[in-house]
Amino acid sequence: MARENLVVRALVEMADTLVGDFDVVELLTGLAARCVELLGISAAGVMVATVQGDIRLVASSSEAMRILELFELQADEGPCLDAYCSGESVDHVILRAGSDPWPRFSVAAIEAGFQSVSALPLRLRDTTIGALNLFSVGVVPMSEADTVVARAFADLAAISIIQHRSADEHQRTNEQLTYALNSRIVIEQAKGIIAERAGVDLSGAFDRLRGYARNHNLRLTEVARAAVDGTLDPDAWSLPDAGRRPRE
Amino acid sequence: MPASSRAPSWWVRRIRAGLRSLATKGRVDRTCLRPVAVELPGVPVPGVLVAGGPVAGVLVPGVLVAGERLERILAALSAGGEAELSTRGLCQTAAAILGVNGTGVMLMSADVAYGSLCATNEVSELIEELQYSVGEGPCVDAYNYDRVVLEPDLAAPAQVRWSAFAPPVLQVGVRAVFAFPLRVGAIRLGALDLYTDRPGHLGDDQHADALVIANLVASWVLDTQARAPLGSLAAALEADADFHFVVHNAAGMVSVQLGVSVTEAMLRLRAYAFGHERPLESVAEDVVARRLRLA
Repeated sequence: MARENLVVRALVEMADTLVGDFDVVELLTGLAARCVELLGISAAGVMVATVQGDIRLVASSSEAMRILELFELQADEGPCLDAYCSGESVDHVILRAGSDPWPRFSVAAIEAGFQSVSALPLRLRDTTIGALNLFSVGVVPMSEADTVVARAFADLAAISIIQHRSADEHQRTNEQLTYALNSRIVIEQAKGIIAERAGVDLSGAFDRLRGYARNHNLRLTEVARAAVDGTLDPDAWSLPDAGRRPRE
Repeated sequence: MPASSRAPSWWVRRIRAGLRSLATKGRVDRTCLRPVAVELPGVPVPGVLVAGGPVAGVLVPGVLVAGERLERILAALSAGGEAELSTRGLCQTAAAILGVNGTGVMLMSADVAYGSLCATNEVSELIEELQYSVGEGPCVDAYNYDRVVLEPDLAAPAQVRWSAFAPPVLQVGVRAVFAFPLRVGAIRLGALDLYTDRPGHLGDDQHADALVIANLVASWVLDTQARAPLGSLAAALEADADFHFVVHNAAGMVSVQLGVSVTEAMLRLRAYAFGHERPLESVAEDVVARRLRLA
């Protein structure tokens, strides 16, 4: 299969997992693996900042990569951290043990068998939320085509993380929608109950419901729910001055 | 020459541009692909970018169609020039885009159908109301099974279903019904239904458009509710809606009349309506007007 097709298939497969209740770690682990398959590099890893701003390792294409990235976090230096902190790409740096820009990281990376590194920030609008690390056992830089694809992978990773975070917000909105609709239903049911018990029409029933809630300093929905559950004294509604009884 | 040293194809650039734009701006430039097409329920539809089908032949043009499709639908939805979309406007535009006789949007949750957000005409209103009354039909299935429901010939269905829903809608001239789940991620909100007065399958374009529209409507519902005061329903969602409040009034009254819970009262009302072949809503109106007692 042509390489473009593989790239598209990888993007499509990853984008497709954004449907529904996806596991962000699983998606990013898959993404790291695709990077290795398609970008002519040796290892890939994804670091993501928590909402509080601490950066954590989320996915690695290999165990050696995982250990090295954990070291990067511990040593507090390395390409991924630079890309995350600056929001800019770290383009193909050939490692030299003990030298700048990462004297400690370079030693560990070379020990693990890597010779060159790149890193791309995961960005959403102006905020950088993490970085994609690409390590190579050789010294040949990625082609222009590979760089474009790497950027697409990094963007997809950013979108998946953001999508996952906004899912919680959507869930809350949906709960509010359900709550609002259920409240209305309970109020309408309570109006029917009061109308029947007190022998009044629906608007008269609503007046009594509202009056009772006001005089007892309760929320309308609470009173309605109590009326529907039968936990509120049914006689309260039959009295003409139901709403005006003083609090006991 | 190794494949990776070639310049990226223009469509790889285009995918990249779309993702880039979504990541940096939270929205997509008109000319870019938006992965909205891939957020849709996993129904393999030619022309919409989905995984699982053949990749190169179908999906590569699919990517392009998806971007243009979305652009076209968004343009149609915003053509009214209104600052705020209305549910009625959404339904009417959906019917126009899809070239069907009518559309409706049904709002549901796990244990209850709330009713209709909008319906374009009396037939669509009947489709919505019947599903609410008898608890079966394309939207109910689309929601419960979380998939697209297609019935291209209601008069001679391949699989007999909806024994209570089908006859009355056939009688008013409905010949085919289709329902698309309203989803935002894992959240299910209800379903969009379409009907035509002639039997026949939806075309690939219609099907793909309907998936996109259902997705947009679902996002719009949540976005609209997110701006409502806490605890209350967004006014825009209620404007053209029929949440059957009179049925809940009647259920309250019947619960007192029969000394049963409102849940039980609702069942009795439905049973009465079904037994007398009357719309639930009209039975409820009679109860509320005290023309009918279920004693």
